[in-house]
Amino acid sequence: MPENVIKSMICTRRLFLAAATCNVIVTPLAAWASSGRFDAERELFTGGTPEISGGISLTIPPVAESGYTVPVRVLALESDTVIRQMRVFAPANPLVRVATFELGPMAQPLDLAFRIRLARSQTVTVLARTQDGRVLRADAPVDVVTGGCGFDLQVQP
Amino acid sequence: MTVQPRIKVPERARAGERITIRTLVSHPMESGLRADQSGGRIARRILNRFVCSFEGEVVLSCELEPAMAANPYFEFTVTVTRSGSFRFEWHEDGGAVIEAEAHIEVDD
Repeated sequence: MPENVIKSMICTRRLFLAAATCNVIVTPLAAWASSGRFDAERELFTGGTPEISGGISLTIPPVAESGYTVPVRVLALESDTVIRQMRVFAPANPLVRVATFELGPMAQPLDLAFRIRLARSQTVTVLARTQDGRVLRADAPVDVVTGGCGFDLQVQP
Repeated sequence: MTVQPRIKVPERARAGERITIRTLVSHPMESGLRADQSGGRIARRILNRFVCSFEGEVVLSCELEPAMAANPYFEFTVTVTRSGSFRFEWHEDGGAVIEAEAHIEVDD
């Protein structure tokens, strides 16, 4: 085998290994970065109040054909739960925050549906602040077949 | 603006009844994160706030981010106790407002 072919093979193998290593490092880094953004966004909403799982339900189809429009429904599970504020998070979207709702007395008990965009498969989270100061949390994993277009570019910090 | 929102509010209800309100408005909700053909950024233009009020009292309001789907749709239940008008507002980036109203007769 001529020397230059062997050299190019080695080069390719080196490049491949380098790329593979990068991938192994970069993927968890991206996940870590996104969980950091998510933690910061949740903290902004809760102000340090512990999150309680339950009390509300979050319903999203487990498989979304298109991330462009994904139906979401949020329900207060008990009729005496008064929800004053609610925020929706998509941790793997370019922008974690999706929407923030303020709810008056007439909108109780909460039963609300709307549609969101998801860039890729992820677990959507809802946090709700009740009148008595608790923060309720619900999560729903969604497999997104085609990512929601409308997110071609990175967010500029 | 010529956008005509579509609103569904029952015409009549009994006092204390929970009714369902549905609203839909045509809007591209341009996220500001899309590229045009030359690779530039298409400017963000979304409806950033939705408010539903009843006789001046806020029923539900929403701060929308670019991750809300195009043609924003809301469906929610409301407990009605008296006759009156629901007012709906959508605020667009740049300050334009889309408005609509719907009256409901509530029987005791």
